[in-house]
Amino acid sequence: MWLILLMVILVWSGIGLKGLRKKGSVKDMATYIILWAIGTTGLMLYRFGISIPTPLDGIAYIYHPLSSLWKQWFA
Amino acid sequence: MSRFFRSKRQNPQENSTTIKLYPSLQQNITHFKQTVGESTDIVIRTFKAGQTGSMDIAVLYTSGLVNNELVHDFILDTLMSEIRKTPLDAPAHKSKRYKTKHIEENGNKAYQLIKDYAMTGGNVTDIDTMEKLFLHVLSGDTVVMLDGSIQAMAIDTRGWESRGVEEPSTQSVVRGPKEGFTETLRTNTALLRRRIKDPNLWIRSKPIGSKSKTDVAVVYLHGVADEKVVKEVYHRLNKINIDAILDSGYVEELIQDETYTPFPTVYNSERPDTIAAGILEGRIAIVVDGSPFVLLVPALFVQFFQSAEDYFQRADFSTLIRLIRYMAFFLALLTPSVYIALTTYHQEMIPTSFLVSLSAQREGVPFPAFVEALLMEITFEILREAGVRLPKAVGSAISIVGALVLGQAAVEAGIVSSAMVIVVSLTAISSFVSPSFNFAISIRMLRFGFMSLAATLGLFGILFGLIILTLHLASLRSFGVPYLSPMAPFIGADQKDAILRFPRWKLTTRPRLINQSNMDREDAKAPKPEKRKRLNQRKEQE
Amino acid sequence: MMRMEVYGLVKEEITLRQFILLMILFIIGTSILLSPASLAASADNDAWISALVAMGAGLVIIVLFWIISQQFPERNLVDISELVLGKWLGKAVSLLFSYFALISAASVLWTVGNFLVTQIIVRTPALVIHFLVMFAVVYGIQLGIETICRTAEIFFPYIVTLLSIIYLFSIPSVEIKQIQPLLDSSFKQISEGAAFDISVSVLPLIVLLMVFPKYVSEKKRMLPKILLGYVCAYFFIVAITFITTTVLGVRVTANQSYPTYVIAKSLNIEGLIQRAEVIIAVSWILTIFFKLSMYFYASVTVLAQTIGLTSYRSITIPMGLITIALSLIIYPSTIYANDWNETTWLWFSLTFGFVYPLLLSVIGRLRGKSISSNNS
Repeated sequence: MWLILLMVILVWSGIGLKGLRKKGSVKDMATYIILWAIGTTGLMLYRFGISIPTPLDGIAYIYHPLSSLWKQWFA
Repeated sequence: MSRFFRSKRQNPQENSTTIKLYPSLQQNITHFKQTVGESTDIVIRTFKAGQTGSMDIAVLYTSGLVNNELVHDFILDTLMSEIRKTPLDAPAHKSKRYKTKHIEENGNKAYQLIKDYAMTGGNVTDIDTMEKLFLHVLSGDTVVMLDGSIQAMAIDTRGWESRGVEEPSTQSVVRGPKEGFTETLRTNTALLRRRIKDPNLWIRSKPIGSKSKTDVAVVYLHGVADEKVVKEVYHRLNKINIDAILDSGYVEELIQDETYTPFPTVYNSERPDTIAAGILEGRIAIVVDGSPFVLLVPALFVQFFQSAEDYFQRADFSTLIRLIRYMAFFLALLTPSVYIALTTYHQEMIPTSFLVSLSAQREGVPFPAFVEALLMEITFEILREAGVRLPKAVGSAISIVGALVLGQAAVEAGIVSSAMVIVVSLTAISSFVSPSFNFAISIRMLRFGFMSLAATLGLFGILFGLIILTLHLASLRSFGVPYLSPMAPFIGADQKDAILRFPRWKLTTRPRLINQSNMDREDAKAPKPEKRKRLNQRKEQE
Repeated sequence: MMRMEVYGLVKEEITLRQFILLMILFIIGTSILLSPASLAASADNDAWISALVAMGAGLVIIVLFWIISQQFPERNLVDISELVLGKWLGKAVSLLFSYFALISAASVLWTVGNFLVTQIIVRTPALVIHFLVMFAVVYGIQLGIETICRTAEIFFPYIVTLLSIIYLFSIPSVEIKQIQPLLDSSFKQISEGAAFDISVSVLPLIVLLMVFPKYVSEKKRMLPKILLGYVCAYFFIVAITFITTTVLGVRVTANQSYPTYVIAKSLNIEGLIQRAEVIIAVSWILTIFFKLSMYFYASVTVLAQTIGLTSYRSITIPMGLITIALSLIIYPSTIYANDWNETTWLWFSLTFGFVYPLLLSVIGRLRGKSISSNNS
């Protein structure tokens, strides 16, 4: 199942990249490749069971003062 | 690289258009003979005419494409005997230079004379280039060339063996006209003209295809069809760069908006009444010589569920039939996949008593439901294809083999369950309900996609298949008009003739997106019996 | 393939009707299945009153969005923030906004996946489901906002009909005494429920400002219609909250993850309609598909425009992959999800759904003259 998905992803992104090459904007291509690398790395890490901290922790940390205040209010 | 090839390819075409006719008849004939390679079906008759019999005239035509009687009675006869004594020919002169000049002058004069006074044919065209000469001769006109004239005249003498107007083999109706288009362009345009006797019905044609020179006619109601779409149609037709057009299918594929879609975005029909109705709504018909299937654009999704008969039967009945067609569409698309999903993933959704009998049936079947369904669907597709290609006499044999051997015997042998046979036959019958054959093909293709989605993800897979399908449909356009209109974008007024069919006197407007300027049809009043009071009044008056 | 050449590039344009349908689907998106539980948990018997309060408070926010859209017609959110906050600060805020939309998209995707994995197709791995859902979303976004809107138009009648079936046939089992005594909960309780409901259904509507004034073809008399659409959408939430609490009881509702689904499961109409939970599942997945699409669309378009790409379509596929990856790791567990939604999500969406537009509007007004001179 995982292999099929990987193939689909590769074919799909290949088609996308081909379309971009036709348009010929370097910036678009660069952004595409960078974002693609991030996404694929994320998926690979998930596949091999390496745990990545969820980005929500960071957001929760930023809002911590506000949310604790809110909790106190309703406690 | 590709540019290089293109320029090379276009060159010979450009050359042939630039060659003008020579003043000398002999030169013209030599060139002509060289180019056609002495083909035996082309007749070149040279003879002398005029008072002194010194005027050289040549008559060129393709035998088999012309009406022989016409050529003999009105062209050869006229030129050879009736104007025998007319002073056409130039007097002999000594000076060679003077002679050439004189012959030219004389030739042009004689040409005018013949054209104005002697030629009894109806449709006479002047030609001045070699390319036109070939086009006219090879499409069945008779060309008369005079020595010394730089023009030649082409007389329309087309008349070849062709099929008569017969009942169309597709889209047949119980009630309604039984005429169908034929392979001849003129007959087809005549069938349309007979239905719409309006001066605004414009028919313009041009040859397409560098080798086949097939006549393609664009037919529309001027002032009703959207000018922008008309322009777009011409634009797309002009862009076609192909060697030959053998059927309207070629044109359809070359002018459609989107290639990579299973759905047809150009409508085709063999029925003059359907095409005429489309033209009256402001659509544009494209008639291709040599094909009984006339194209109609823009084509919408709902159009493929409408049959000509809907408008000949009662409105309520037609609405019901249309709803059934939509139901059949979904049945044909989804029945096998829903069956697979239910038996593989969602057994709890099947009523218990049915589940018991179902599992009893499936007990001996060695395959999972998906393979079973795939097997049967492919078998059916093969049977159907064989049935279409086989001679009629053998067709019934195929149906016996299909029904008995593959249906009953397969169940008895335990290869498939009998429920699966029901599913497959239901699907098969439903896929033929759609009045358009090419739309049914798209359903049949998509069915296999849905089956594999159902096999991997169950009902959820089917749901997402439907979402993707709808997204795809919503993205399609046919000549600028959204394919799913009048559903999306929603147009209230057009709902009267989309899924439902309102009574005739309610259908007073044309579809909004097809023609944006001239929307009102003649408004018809609902027939009502006169009120008793008024009747009495009238009686009193009398 | 033949593109319309005489027409030129067909400009993307949606009708006001399509926009309103999209908004309704966005509002009822996740809420129809999740809101009753959280509302019942915080506001007890008066869960539906809490939803009503949320509707009233949400009106104010809608009007705020309306004001900012009228302040800068023909501009989308990225243009506005660059115009108001200056080039670099504007870009920075836009990137943060894109991040907000991406996180939201991933969490919605997780919600869909979680629902399907726990309730419908139990054996399938989450990755496959997330992938298929995201495939549909990316495909739709590639085709353009116009296509998404037309698809919404096609599906809307089915969604409404399916939901109405559930509503109508639940009415016989409504027992008012389940939520009596009325108005028993404190103001605090009611407002807590309302605040959470707003943060899920109304505040994220800000992402629609990437579409709203710019692509809508008719510009006249928009506000009344939009407000009407909003009220209709919220009516669905209020009604489902009322029905779930009266049919299931407040405690049971609060303890369920998907109370609406439970109601549909118990529905049995004269032996005619059984297994109605499929109906609710289908309509819920359809609505959430559009919510996810709009989050994703906002994230992608904001990012593409901020970086200055030729078209947002260039990055939809890799962004889709990122969303899938993010959705797989975003919530380690359901408990984490509930906790995060209750504590941080409110503030997160408040920042981008209320403070951000409010600041833009106020600063925009203060700097009104210099901006207009820049314009010309």
